[in-house]
Amino acid sequence: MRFYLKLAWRNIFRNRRRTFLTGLIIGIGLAAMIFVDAYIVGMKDSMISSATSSFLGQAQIHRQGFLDSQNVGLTISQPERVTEQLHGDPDVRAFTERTLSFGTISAPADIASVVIYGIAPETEKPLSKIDESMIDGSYLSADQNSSALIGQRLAERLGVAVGDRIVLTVSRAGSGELSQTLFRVGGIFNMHINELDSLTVFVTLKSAQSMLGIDGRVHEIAIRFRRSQYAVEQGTQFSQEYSSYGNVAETWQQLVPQLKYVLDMTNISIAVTVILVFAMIVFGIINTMFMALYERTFEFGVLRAVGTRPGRLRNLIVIEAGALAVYAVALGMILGAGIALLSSSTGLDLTGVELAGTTFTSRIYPVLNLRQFTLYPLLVFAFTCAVSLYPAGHASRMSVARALQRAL
Amino acid sequence: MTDRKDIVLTKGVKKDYRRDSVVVHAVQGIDLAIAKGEFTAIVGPSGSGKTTFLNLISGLDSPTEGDVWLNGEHISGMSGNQLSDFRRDNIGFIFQAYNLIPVLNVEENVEYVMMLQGVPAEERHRRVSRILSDVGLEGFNDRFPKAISGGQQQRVAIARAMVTRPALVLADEPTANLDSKTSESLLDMMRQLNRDTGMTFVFSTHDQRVIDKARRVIVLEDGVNVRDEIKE
Repeated sequence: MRFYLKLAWRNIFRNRRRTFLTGLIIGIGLAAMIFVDAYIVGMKDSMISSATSSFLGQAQIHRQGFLDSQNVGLTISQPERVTEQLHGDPDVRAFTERTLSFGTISAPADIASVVIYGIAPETEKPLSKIDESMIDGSYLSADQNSSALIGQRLAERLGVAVGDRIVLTVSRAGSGELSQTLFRVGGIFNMHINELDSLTVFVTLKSAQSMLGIDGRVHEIAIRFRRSQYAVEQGTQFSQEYSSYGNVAETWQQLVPQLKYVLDMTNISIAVTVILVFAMIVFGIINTMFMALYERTFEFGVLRAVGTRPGRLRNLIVIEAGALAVYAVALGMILGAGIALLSSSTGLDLTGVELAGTTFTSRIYPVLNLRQFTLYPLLVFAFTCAVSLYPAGHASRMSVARALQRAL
Repeated sequence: MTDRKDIVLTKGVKKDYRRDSVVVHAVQGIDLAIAKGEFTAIVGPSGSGKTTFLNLISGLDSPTEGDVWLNGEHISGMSGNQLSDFRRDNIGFIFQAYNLIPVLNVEENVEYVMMLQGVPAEERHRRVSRILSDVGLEGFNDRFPKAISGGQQQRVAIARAMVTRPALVLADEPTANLDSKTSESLLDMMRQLNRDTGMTFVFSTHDQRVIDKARRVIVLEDGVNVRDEIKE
């Protein structure tokens, strides 16, 4: 075996230029796989982060049926027990309570339908980016019960600025009576998410509870975990633990299913890239192997004549392909890591681009991981060896007498 | 089945092959016996069937009809692996050129067949040293084929063919690409090795120098043995 390894290694460097070019083709393929994968991982992270860190949170708890009916009377059942459990959960970094209701906003110039959130300003900060997105005025504080935050697009539509008066109208829980409350615009935000910037109003939790007639009760608890992957890895367990007392706990995959579909689609893009790269590798190897085979027909004839069994000759050619793969994989890993690292300083600017209901809020940076440098190279190596079985089988079945007649 | 002294025995051996839809009768029923220790030349013009006949008696090709025995074994019905093993253990080959594996050095080229036989490294090294000394290439072990002359390459091929002490050494036009002085010296060397070891040599050639040195000359024309002459 050692002898054949030595023979194979020397053989691949017989025609250095050809070996380099073939290695380069395979290496570029592998580098492309690593690079695309690194960007897709980066894009996934960015999409999840954009979707969950702007406002959604990584998981939410609601009363059963609330999200479907939007019935403001369906507040979270036994909220003290739920919050106590969340306080004691080591996987939970932060959580915040909210009310959620549909209503209208009236200004002297116009009126619009909006979603009104009651938020606890301090506990909201680790869950969302409202405070970081203020472009005018200031973020809420717990005692500013007559202040409201509105999105930039909504402000433009209503023609209002900070300090202007607005009236929020909601339907009260239980009776369904309309309740109108006067607020002043305390701040204008731009979160680069169309839905939030044009349709959403934030007031303090206390104001919202008072308007809705649900003192002390909330509709939603948004949660952030200590690890970003927790919702992906332990989402089911979390849902089971917190879906109690008539409440339902869901992670972002259930709350934004379209995002999950897009992320699943990215796995398909990786698969397509892998297939294309492997097609390149197939043609590269078959071409090189057949060129080498025709050049070395007489030599293979000599090897067979002096007693090399057909299977051994086939193995020798497969080992040669393996040696070529090792060379190419090394080249590909260096290229792939190099390109990804070079582009990691600039990243890809998709800020503001909306995809599957998620708006990218930051640049996408490639993320290198172990799989790209273990699984893909191993796949390339195994695939190269497997593909070489075709020319190797062809060579081993060649008539010895005919091979010896063909000296190029 | 064969006389114990016969290394090669053929009975009614024929070989037809197709070339562009035309059937070529390359060998047309040759009966022949070559005894142990002979130094035989198979001669004839191009296309007379010399190489085809050599391929048939060495198991590199299978006959369309007839039987071949080599060293007492009926090789016509052997499988691919059986033939490979049989050639490895019984036949040494010398071709006209491009004989050696270019990525192996002289020692590795010579020991290759012994590796296939499973001869231990120490024994291989001992035998390689001795045979390289016999063919006048002492100290050439580490050189690669491209670093030595054509004549020296043929000596290495002879060493490789003989190092396993095969029953038969087959040489197809071994002097075709060599100058006359080198050819003469190689032929003398092979003749001497034939005398010293008793190994059987069969050449396919139309080189008059080889014919002159041979003890037996078999003449083929159009795939038929037209003359068989044993010199005194």
